[in-house]
Amino acid sequence: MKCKNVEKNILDYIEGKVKEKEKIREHLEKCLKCRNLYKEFLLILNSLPKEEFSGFDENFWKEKFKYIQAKQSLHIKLKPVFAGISLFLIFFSTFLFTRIYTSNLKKVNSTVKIEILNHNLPFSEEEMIEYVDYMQDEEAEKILDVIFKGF
Amino acid sequence: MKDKKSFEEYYIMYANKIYGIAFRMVNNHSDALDIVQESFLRAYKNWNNFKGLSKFSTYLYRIAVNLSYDFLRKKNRIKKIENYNYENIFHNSNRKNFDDCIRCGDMIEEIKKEIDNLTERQKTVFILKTYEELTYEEIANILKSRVGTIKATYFQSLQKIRENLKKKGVIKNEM
Repeated sequence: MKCKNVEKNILDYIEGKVKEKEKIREHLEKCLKCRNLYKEFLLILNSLPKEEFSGFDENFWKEKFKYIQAKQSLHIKLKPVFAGISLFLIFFSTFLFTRIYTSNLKKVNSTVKIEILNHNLPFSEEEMIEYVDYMQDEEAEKILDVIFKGF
Repeated sequence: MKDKKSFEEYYIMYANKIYGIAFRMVNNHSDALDIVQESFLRAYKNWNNFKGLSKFSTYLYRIAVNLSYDFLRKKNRIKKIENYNYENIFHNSNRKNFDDCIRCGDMIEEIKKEIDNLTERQKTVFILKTYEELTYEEIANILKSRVGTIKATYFQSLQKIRENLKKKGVIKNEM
């Protein structure tokens, strides 16, 4: 058996779970490098600070479990509240979006109308503003309404 | 379908095991307790989906290991094992075998240090294999890895401990 194979199986050999036990043993007798590896692994594993955790008693954990129960019941109680808040947020954001969208649409429409008006008038924008200055507000609105109806 | 009472039974059955893993990972009692509680809280959310005990325990171990990783990353520390009051719940079972070994205490302390110097992954595999005595298959399930990879990681962790102990002169080469 080669060193590489021994190295590969050394941990199983230590645990006694390897099939070629005899071959590995023979190799270890001959090879110092592999024997050192085996001995040192064994030394580490045997020297491990194997603190056996005796653990806390049942009452300790029963007491701690109350915290889990309390957290869970709080979670269950708060579920409808969270659901309510989520629904409110969904409705509110939809409402807000619709409002903003409609107002923007109106703005865009009126801008488009003015643009069309400016391009179709037989006088310039500056001239129109000058004429409008001579008129009363109500009269100007009437005239503008008449013009807009045409579009 | 499992009820709350049976979850409590599972909790009592596994709490010490999860605590043991968490404690060895984070080396701190209160943090280990937090990890136990958080692990069970998370497991409870999926409680109704579990049919078998083995799958549940694997899931629980996985959560505990991941929470320990998170804890170590957050705190950015791998502390030395502290000697606090809770340590009396641990007792050394194999120390008596080394009564004749003068350097036994040093050796154990050095090994403890070297375990803490392993990478997160190596440390987890090492703890699950040596302390929890889980099989390679069980560890592979917990860490969602392959048996071969786990075996290799375990070998690497032992090799790393060995080499560092050699560097420090704790282990001497046989000529």
